Amino acid sequence: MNATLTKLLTFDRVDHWGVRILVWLTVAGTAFVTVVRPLLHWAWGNPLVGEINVDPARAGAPSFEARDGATLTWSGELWVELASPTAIDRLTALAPGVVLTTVVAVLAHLVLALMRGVEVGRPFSATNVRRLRLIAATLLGSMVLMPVTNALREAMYASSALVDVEDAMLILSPLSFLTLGIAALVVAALAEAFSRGSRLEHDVDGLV
Amino acid sequence: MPVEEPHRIICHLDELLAARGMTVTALADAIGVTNVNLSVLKNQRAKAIRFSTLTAICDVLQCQPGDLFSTQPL
Repeated sequence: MNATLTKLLTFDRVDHWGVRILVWLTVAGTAFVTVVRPLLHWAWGNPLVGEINVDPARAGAPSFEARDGATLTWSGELWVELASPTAIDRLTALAPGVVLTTVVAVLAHLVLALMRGVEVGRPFSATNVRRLRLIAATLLGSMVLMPVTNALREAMYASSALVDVEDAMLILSPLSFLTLGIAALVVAALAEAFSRGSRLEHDVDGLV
Repeated sequence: MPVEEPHRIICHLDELLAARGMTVTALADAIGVTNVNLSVLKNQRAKAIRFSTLTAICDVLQCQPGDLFSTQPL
């Protein structure tokens, strides 16, 4: 590998700071889009807008009947606008965002703590092994929590906006399950590697 | 966490150095090991020793590994 490429792929102080800033910007961005903005809409009394998955064979808003206080629009997907949603409707719509923001914040905190260990030259510590296992557990947890909260939100939109709830359908994306599952497995395997590394470092400690 | 395994090996580097009027720093320089590492060995805090380090110490101090280490009786 040539020297320039090696230098580019090596993590120096600037890279560590860059990653820190990027990670916290991601957390802040996720929190703003998925939690703060909906809360502001709630505070301003704006209508609640969301999307419902429907049978693609029955595409088109006119084929669905809306409840009082709900407006349906079709733009390739069925969009719902609830003029005066209840607090429960608002909270249910907020739930996936809260879960996503919490997951992203927990992952960011753990990844940055892990990188601090790498930065000071002690990556193979028992604490880092525990952090990696927590990352894997968080990913596995989000694999269950995210679809569940999304399903609850869609069920809320359907029951509040459609006369016939049967029109709505729950679509679970196997790709998101697969991606999160594989990521959790990779991180768990990495935790095992770090665990071996931690043992090796312990063996070397005190070697003259 | 790996379990700390107990041992009864005693290192006599201190006595060997005193008998030869040599300092830890001088020995460290002679064998190419850091002062800190050699102090770990001298102060009974070492858990293992490389054969290369042992050979170098024995060469400089003109001794055998058995002169450097003994086992503490139970």
